[in-house]
Amino acid sequence: MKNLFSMEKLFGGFLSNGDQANAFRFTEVEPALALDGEVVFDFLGVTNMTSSFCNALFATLVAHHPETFFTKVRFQNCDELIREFIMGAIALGKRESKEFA
Amino acid sequence: MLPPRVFDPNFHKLLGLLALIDKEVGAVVLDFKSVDYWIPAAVVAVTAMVTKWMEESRSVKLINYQNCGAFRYLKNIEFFAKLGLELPRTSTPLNDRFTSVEVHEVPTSCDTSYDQGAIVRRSAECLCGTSDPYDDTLLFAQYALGEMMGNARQHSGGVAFVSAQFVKGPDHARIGVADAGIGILESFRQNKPPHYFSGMTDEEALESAMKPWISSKSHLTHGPYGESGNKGLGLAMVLEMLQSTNGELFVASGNSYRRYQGRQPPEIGQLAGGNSIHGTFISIRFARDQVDNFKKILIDTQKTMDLTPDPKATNLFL
Repeated sequence: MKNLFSMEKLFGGFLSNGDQANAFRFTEVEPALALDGEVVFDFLGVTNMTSSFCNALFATLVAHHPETFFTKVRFQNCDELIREFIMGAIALGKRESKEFA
Repeated sequence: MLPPRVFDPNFHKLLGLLALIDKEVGAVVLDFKSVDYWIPAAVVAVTAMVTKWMEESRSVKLINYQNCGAFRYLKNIEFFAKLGLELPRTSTPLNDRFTSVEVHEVPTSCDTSYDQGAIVRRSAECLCGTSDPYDDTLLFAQYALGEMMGNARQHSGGVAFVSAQFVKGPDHARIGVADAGIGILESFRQNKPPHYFSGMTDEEALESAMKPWISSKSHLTHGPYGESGNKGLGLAMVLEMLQSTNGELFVASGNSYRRYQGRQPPEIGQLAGGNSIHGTFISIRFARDQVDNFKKILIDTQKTMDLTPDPKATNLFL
């Protein structure tokens, strides 16, 4: 089973609001991560975001689930810029997970 | 009497004047007779303060605005409309040297339904004169607008306003965000983040707020959504991006201001008359030709924040 989140349909082409990202993580993504199967974030149509959005969602997920994140979470249709944002958030999450440990 | 021309170097004087008016009681009369040009940050600063006074039921009267040099500009960006004066908007372009983004209100709460992205997209397109979603200037403007508005929305506790302008001659884009909320020091005082200490001054709070990893809320919970998503990076990353592209950032809160110009040490000072203003006021300026590769700017900025990508993470991309 695959849980797919279409980011453009959920938040538009520019992902901006960190509070929205954090609420989405808590209400949609964390429960999906607890289920079987991959959690896929589809960035088709997303051209830009803020660090606040990306970090609130992905850095916090990595910090909370450092192992599950790498086995279950996948990203698709990311252009190079979106990729850099996500890579930065993952680096931040790993740093936070070490601080929590 | 309001000052005729307000740019970043004298913005603190206008804020000092607004703080002085704020401190007094009774009716406010703002005389626009000499007003000729204000940067967007000055426009939204006055909008935020007038809105605050009206909410406090203070009588606010604007005089001589129809004859001032900036009348058409202020009317076109809906400045007067935001203050309750319904004036017909001019349909013809203001001036082919300028592109102006109208004053937008930014609801300052943790309302997760607020479509900040849509306002940012429209404003950035207007500012950059393109709707190409991959244009580097557009991406940079979106990023700065998104982080600055997010910052105001999350921390001020009051209503915030945003406006922007592009000037063709010097190729400068300017964005202003202002709120008449609680200000940075009070936000620290209320939320007591780890770096806060009793006796902290506005100047010290402002210095802290511009550093990475400093947030007044990162240690708190976010309503029903568990841990706060704040990392304290938003404004610090905007500052680093501006410094690396020879841009400028002015920020004021309480009685203090800091003005960053490229990599030079910041100018630090107090508002005119040592007055203290409610809220936080930010102005940024960047040149379009300096932001021709937003992805590189982002990568370099993340490096300065010690966010080195994990090679293992590349496997996560399908």
